[in-house]
Amino acid sequence: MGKTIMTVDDSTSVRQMVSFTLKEAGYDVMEAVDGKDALSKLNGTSVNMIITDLNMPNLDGIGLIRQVRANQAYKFVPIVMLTTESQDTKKQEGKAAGATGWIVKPFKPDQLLAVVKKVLG
Amino acid sequence: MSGAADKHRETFREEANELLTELETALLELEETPDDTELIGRVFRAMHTIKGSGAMFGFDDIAAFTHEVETAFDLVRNGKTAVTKGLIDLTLSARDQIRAMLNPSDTETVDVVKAGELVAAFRELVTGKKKDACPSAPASGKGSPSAQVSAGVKSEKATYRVRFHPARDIFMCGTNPLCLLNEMRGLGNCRIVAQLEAVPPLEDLNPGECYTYWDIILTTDQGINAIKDVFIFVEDSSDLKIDVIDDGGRLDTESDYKRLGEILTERGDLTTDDLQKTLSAQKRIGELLIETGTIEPGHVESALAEQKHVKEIRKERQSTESISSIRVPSEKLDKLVDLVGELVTVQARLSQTAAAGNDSTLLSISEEIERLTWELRDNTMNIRMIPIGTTFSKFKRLVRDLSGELGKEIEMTTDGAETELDKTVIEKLNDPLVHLIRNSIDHGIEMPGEREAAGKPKQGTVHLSAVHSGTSVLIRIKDDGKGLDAETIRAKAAERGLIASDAELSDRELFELILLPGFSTAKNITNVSGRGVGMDVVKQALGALRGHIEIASTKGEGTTITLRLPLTLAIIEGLLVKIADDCFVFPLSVVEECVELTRKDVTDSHGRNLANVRGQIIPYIRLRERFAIGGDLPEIEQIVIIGSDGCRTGFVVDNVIGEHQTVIKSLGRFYRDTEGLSGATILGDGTVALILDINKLVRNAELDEQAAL
Amino acid sequence: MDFNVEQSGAVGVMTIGGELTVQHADELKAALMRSLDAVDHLILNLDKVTEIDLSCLQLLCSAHRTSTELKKQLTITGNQSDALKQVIETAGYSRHVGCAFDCNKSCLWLGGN
Repeated sequence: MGKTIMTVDDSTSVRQMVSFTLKEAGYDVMEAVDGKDALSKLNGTSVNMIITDLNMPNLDGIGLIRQVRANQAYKFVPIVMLTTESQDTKKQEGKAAGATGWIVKPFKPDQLLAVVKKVLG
Repeated sequence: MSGAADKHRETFREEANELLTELETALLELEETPDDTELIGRVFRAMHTIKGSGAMFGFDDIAAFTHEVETAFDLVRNGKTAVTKGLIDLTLSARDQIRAMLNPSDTETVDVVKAGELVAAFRELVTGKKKDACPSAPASGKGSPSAQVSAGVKSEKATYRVRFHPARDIFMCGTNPLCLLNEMRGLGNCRIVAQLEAVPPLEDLNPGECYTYWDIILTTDQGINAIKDVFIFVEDSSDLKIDVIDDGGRLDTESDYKRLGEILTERGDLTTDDLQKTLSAQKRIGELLIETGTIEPGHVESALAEQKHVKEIRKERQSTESISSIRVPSEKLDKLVDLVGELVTVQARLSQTAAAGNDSTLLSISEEIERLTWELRDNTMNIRMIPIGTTFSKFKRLVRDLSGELGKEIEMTTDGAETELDKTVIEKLNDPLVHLIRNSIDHGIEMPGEREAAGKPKQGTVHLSAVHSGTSVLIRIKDDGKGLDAETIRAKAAERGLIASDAELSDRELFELILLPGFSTAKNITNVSGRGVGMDVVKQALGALRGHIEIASTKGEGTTITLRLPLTLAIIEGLLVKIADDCFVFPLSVVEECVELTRKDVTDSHGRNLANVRGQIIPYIRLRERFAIGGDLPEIEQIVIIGSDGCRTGFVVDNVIGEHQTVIKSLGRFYRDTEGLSGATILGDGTVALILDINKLVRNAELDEQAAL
Repeated sequence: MDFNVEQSGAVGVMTIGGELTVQHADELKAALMRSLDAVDHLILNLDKVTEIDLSCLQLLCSAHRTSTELKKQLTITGNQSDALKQVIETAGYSRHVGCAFDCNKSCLWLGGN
């Protein structure tokens, strides 16, 4: 049974890279361009994991994490956020909101897969 | 992947160009409405994305440059500085600069000086305004976990005790602790004991909370950072305690580990006072602690697991250390065996001398030396033992190639590859085994069609096995082919004049005929075998190894050939005999019995060399004549009866002295070709005894007899 | 997750199947409490469990503790499914000696290595 991962990022190139890497590794991937888009695409669909950027228009990563956690259906879904070195406070904020882990940008495909494996098992 | 990487870079370039266009629009709008936070947010995000994605796809210069602009707009966003015309101008120039860096092939060239000026200008803007705001120092020591993993340096194996006590709400942030435990298992040899004492009864339990914590004992060569990396996402919220309990043996070489009480107090699960109280009760501490309720059973379980784990890894380490071998050229070993042989000889002399004298001190020293010498001899012989497996694997290839050549389907199986034999024996065994296996493939196993017709599996099997049996090793070559046909052999042997056509022979005796020179039953001579020079060569080679060959076969079911070989060739048990003043040695393994030969027996047999031993007529050879030794015959001679290849032959000697540990020495160059002798040995008193080559002597006697007829 | 309870006298057999994961833990807890209330000996049949996570393992442990407090019995019947066996091993739950609550030596995690 394939596991589904949602990648949320307003940067097309990052989304493309994440999506490509995950598909290569055998995961099913859903893409969303920002938090709002992500929520509307989730809407009851079952996902096994969410990878989200933090800085996004409409609804940012922190807001997305909060709303996902508030939803009974996604209460326990692992959420990994993409951060940059300079966003240590953001990272804390994300964790407080219920993020499972984080990946620091820039990252390479195998680093991404290592984190996915760590969280999804 | 490089194709994909290029594609990702191109996507980024397009994306960044779009963002730069949007940035320009946003900046121009911002100039009109400098307080519009939404516009400020757009500018910041554009910069942020260009920076973050740029670094991901290898545009490090762009990332570094954009970082300066982003930092400035972070201040604007947080209300620490206002949007001014100067800032807009500067940012627009920066935007053009980024565009130039992004598309170096465009008409504008990258102006490094300008870039430097812009960076300086942004920095000034930031430092001027920031002061107290924390500088954008990289997060201390907490980088991307996987980055640390990949940089992990292999270190010495060490054993860690980890107590992982996750936060109650660990499930709520999407963490599955089992994944972390599995990740720990991936690092090395790992034992995990869950601690469950905090699990409440149902009514008090919130199923979405984690009440379990874990004791983990891990032996790994990945270092402590690899362990910390496993828990990197949860280390802030969890209690994580990591202790080194075994550092790979550099400090601690004993295999014993701490006592249970010690482990428990070290972990803080038991107070020293309670430990003392319990210890004074003189009972198994673990049981007692549980009985008295001093401690959670789970804690004892985990401490026991730790004890077991460390004991095991220490034991393993010790055994790997002792297994570690050194390579020594085999000549050095041969030399050692030679020296041991000489020592054995000298020791025999010492024993003789000591026994002859009356000095009890000397006698006890001599006995001591004797014991040590035997031990040394056995150990040295052991060193030369190597497993026969290497030879076996060579035959697999042989079987594969030959069966292909002959169009047969044959599988070879082996057994007892670990059986050890003296290295010289193994070396000399190669050719005979090749012959025997070839025979099985060629004569034994039938063509696939034939096999199917006979109701056998299409694929034939040749099974090669080796097993110890006393001081010998038995090597068996067993095939499930058509077996030997006793009648064909009988007819052939009669035709060749090897047996009388009406001779009564058992199957076994018939089978042994195929070992005679010039015997071959194959109708067609193939490349593989059938020239009639196979089996007698095998027999000869085995004779040289002091081995025997036995054949068993059932028609239609297969043939089993068993080779019996001595464990070593360097030192054998011998029977020492005397003719006049000369000493000779028989290999004890072939000696069956010794009987007396009186003058009367000789006259009774009318000059023929035949002795009557309990009704059985046994031909004998007079070694005195054979070796042309002069002197008078004793009144009563001795016949040493040898059982060789199923027939008994006697050797007449003057005296049988007794058993003798015979260190075999090869004969010098001049004597090497002497018929009937296979070597020499030195006796306790320094005299030389010759070792008899029984097979050769028998054959020569047979030839002489035929010649005489 | 799906389950059904068959009761005959003081003994109840609760057959649980499917995914026993944290999402269903609340439901499972309620079901276990109800059943333990109703019978003296509750037998769990977990043959059809396809997946079980730590939260539900913990829940089973808790249910066993509750049963001993109520002086009742809780046992797991028959062959444990591979999914269950594996999780017990992974989570380090297997035991040689039951916990302090385990007065009648009926700990669910005894055995194994």
